[in-house]
Amino acid sequence: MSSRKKVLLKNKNSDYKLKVIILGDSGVGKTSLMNQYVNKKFSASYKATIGADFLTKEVLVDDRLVTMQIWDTAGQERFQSLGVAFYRGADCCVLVYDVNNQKSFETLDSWRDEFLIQASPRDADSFPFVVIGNKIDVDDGKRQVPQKRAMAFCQSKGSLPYFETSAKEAINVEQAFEVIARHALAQEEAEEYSGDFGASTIVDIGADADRDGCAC
Amino acid sequence: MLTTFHARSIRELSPKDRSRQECILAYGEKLLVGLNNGTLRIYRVSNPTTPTEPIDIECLREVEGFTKRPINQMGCIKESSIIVILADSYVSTYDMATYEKLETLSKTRGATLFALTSGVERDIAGVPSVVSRLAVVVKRKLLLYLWKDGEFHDSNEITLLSQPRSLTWAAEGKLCAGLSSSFAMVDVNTEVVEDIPMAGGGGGAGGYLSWSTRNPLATRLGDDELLLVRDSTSMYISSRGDPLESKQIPWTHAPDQLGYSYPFLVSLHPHHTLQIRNPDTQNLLQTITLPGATLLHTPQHNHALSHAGKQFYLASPTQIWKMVLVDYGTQVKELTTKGEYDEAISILEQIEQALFVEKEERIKEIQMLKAEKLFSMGKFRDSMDLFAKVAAPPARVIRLYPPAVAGEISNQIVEEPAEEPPQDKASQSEENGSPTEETKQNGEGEDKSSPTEEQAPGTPPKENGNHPSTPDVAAPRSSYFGIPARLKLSSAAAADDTASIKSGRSGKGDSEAAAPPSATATPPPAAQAILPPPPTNRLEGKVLKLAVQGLVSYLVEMRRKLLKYVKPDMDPDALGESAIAPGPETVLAFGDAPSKSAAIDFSEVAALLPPSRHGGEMSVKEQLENLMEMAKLIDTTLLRSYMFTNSSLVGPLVRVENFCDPEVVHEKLVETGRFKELVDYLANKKLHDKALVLLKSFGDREDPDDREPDLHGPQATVTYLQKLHADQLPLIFEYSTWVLHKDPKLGMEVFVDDTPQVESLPRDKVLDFLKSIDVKLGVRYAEHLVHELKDDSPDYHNWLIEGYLTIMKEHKEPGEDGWQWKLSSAERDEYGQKVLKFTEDSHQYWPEKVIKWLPKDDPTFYEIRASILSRLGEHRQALEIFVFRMQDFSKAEAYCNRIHQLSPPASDPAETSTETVYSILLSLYLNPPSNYEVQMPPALDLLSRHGARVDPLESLRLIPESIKVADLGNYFENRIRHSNSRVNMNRVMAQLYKSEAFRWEELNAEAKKKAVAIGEERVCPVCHKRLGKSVISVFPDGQVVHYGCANRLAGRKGMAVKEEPVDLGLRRGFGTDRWSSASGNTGGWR
Ligand SMILES: Nc1nc2c(ncn2[C@@H]2O[C@H](COP(=O)(O)OP(=O)(O)O)[C@@H](O)[C@H]2O)c(=O)[nH]1
Ligand SMILES: [Mg+2]
Repeated sequence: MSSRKKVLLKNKNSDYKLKVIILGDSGVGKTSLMNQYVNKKFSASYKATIGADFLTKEVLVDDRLVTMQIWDTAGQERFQSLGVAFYRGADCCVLVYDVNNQKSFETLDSWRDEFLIQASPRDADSFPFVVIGNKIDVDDGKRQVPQKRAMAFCQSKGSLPYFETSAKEAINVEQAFEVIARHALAQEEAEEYSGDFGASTIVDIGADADRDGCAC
Repeated sequence: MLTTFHARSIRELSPKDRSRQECILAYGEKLLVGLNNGTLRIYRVSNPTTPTEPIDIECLREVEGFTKRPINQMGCIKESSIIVILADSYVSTYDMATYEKLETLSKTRGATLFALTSGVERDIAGVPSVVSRLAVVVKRKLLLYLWKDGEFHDSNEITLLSQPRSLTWAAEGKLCAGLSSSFAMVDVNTEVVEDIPMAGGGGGAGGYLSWSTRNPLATRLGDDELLLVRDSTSMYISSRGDPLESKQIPWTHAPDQLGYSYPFLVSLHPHHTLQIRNPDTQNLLQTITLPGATLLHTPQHNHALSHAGKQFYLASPTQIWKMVLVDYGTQVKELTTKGEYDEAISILEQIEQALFVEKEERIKEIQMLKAEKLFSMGKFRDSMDLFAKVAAPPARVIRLYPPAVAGEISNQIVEEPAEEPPQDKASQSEENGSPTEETKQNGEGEDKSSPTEEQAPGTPPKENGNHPSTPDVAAPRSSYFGIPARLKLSSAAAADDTASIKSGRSGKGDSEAAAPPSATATPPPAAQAILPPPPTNRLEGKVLKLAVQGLVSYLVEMRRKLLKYVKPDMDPDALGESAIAPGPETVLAFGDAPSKSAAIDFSEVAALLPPSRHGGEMSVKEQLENLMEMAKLIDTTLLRSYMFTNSSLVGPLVRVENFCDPEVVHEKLVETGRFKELVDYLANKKLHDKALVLLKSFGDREDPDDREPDLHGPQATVTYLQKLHADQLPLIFEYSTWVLHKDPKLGMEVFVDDTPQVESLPRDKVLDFLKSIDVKLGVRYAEHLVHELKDDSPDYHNWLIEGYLTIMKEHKEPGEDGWQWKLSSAERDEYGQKVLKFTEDSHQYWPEKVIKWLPKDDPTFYEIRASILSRLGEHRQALEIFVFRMQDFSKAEAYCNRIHQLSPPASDPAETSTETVYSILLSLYLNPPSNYEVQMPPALDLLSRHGARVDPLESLRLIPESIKVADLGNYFENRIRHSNSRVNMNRVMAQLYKSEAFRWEELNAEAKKKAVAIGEERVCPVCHKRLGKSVISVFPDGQVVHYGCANRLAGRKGMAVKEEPVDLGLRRGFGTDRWSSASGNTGGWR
């Protein structure tokens, strides 16, 4: 199924569809970040996200037109309500925490691990994650997670890109998503290059093998 | 080809009988046959419970001359006990019991067709009642009747485009009429007629023959679907007339008659061929040719019970067949055996649960069989998706894989001997063979009448190749997970004849087959069908990898489902009673069990839960235990699968909540040298001591271990310990020790990191621990507490000084170079400076305690002692140290300056007699204890610089007479200047205060000058009465109110009324300064 999609994309040649998933504890600002990035809007009232929803945005990455599909999730339910299908084919995963909330930082690791299990990317170690520490506009005295510690975490997980943002003040949001798009695109291309075993039937192996043969 | 019905000939006219059967009607046990001579024969026909049971038929009555002409059509309304007959161009009603005519509907003259329906309808008010309707076709007209009070009342007439040639009741009040070139849906209430466009020319030649002479056919399918057929073209519509998804029935010949016998579509074709189809898949299930059959009679649709008529009749002019349904279980089993899973599922889905109690289980079972088939075909992803969709028990899926993935439940562990070829002959013939016994009502014609059954062309080839298909008795008694008890056949046994092996495998089943069926221990039918799937060709290499990738997605999906209910650290014992909702969405429902505890709603995983072993509902505890067991299998297999296909996911799995079997995890991770993951796993399971031992064994060694070089050194242990909370303190101490010895700086990170965990450690215990290892570590920690964490506890401040001093006082090994201390002098000085600074800065240590620790005669501690003395307020003693011990006068003066600055005397020292530090110092210089000399130059220095800070009388008294006045010149000059400046300063101040007073007076006068005019008409804005000559209050903004109303207005304005009373002497008075505005400075008030 996904291989068909890819062929299509290739033909159009300028248009890539990238699937980005935003994860993190509830209330850290996932929905707000997405809204700020896509709609340039921020609302201070809190409305819990139900289920999962996505917004799309077209961006240019190095002269290539890319459609980013940004999937927002309901944090509180963890991974128990969204099926495997939801995670299949993700190109980048954004881990969000609230710099004023220690716990939301500590759960990042298990968000990452659960994502990997659910999405089963071919190579978990190289799968792109981007970490965002949100709500930096809040009074400095309330900050619980020092930048240093967040960066150490990202370093230990394989030099994950790290951004400190404010969805409220639109600080760094654009920059973060630009990097997200770039990484997602790289991932999508890598997937494409290595052929997708995802939609696997015996027949597909044959097709894959053929393609490999031709390419050489 | 499936056997869905057996055609049982129940009646055949003897060759001598000249009459011919024209029309039949069956209801209940009755069978009415109309003959061409107008005779009606009434039979009672028994309902056989099995297809082979003899059928009793008894002629109850024969009514000669029942009609003048042959009957064209018969129908009945059971609720009203009437039979409706169309004969001789009229529709008449007859009593069902007596067969006497009740009425001929005179308007129906020329009728060609009628249709009956009865069902629950709602009237305009919404009140439901049973309504029977009759529609009669007379030319192009539809005559509509309603049955009421024992007779038909004609309600209305609708004229159509052409004469209907078929008539079928659809939904309540809707009638589908087959016209010459189309179908029309007629609403009998609104009389709206809607054309149902039909895609022209289905299969074959029909295309341009739109004027077909064949009758349009229609039949209901179940409750809300109809099938319309014209020639070979078919169309499904809803009972309201909307076309449904277009599906064509692949007729080879257009049908002549059409009917529905729940849940099958039956059609009679030329050459007396009956076809039985699944209306959902359109597949032909069975074809039966009955010589001469021309009449198809399916039961009238019954709104209340669509499955009411499961049997139907066929008739030729001389013979009648009752079509006896083969029970669904047998049919489904037959389809399953042939591998026609989709067909079996489709049929099951159309059957109501009430008719097939294990419907859901069976569908699931067949879907699993289908998934197994897909698996064996190499369609792993499809197979696994299907397994996941039906929530197949994990063991059943997992065992398809080789042991490297499935562990010991793999069905590939044991070489299964080739099994005996199919199959139990007896059951085969019972299922498929034609009935051997037939009732011999008519005695003759047995042979020629016995139905012939043929295979439909194009059925899928049999699937079961060399594998035995599901034998119905060979159900291995398995544990719930569907795992056959592991086979441990010796090779000798394997060489034995296969039958014995089979009986060895399925002893239970065989004994059952042999024993007469008893009430006990009948294995549930679902279990019967569960068999180990055909041992597929070995999975290897790339194919195995793909297969495992498929498995992973299944496992992940199942894992997700299970995790809603169970957690690895959950105790089912505790939960069984207290019924804690494990997940946020879990609904607590009250079980019907009498237990007071609420039951957990397991609906989402219900499919996974095994049937209870002892009949009734399983307890919550049992269910949870089952689920946990399953979760363990899933996670453990997931681990093995990752090892196999995607080892980078092993880490994530062991780090998240998981049920992995510890032994397997250990074995697999050690085997592949993934010790980091092993540590993560142990950490996740809170087996911290094991993890730490492991880390130490990798970290605390000379050279890195090749298997996990990253774990070399103390860093990993430090990182681990930093994550532990205070409740693990003993472990933290135990395992930080080696790190602290190896790399103290790094080791200290365990205790001084700024994470919440580290900061939560009990400080006193940590300090004690670190002290016990090394004072320096204790000092480092105390410094951290005091400086970084700003801990104010005196204990730490005291101890920090003590720690410093302990280090400074440490002796060297009795020594070569004569140097007494362990530290070099530079180091000692450095510590000395630290202590000094700390004793000066900290206000938390206890000086009286600390001072006792200071060696008296060691110059290193002189200044420190002075600093502590100063804290004690013992300035004289402190200064004595500077002046006499150290002879450092500038430090003495600096000391005084510092003290002076810290607490400058409140008023001019000249006017007080209190002794200042300066005078103490002066007295030490000029009036030293007997064994010290007078220090004149520093004294004079002091006087000249700080003379003003010393009481003049005091200082003069101290100055010895021998001093020349000239030497004191500086002092006096300084002194006088100081006094003058004070005098001048005070003068200036006096002037300033005066002018300030003046300014206020002026303001006061101005305010009093303000006046308001009160005329006759002026009213108080608060009470709206005239001000008249009352006492008034004037507000700063000019508003004038009664004195009594002032409070109310003030309240509104947010002002407070001053307590003192207004100047009552002034009537029509002036505003006074009664008001002070809340904001302090309102306009117009100056
Ligand atoms: N001050 C501040 N508040 C934010 C920021 N981002 C989100 N919020 C607020 O945090 C709450 C939760 O945000 P939401 O986007 O719904 O979080 P989600 O549950 O992760 O989707 C809302 O009240 C937001 O207004 C931010 O950058 N700064
Ligand atoms: Mg949200």
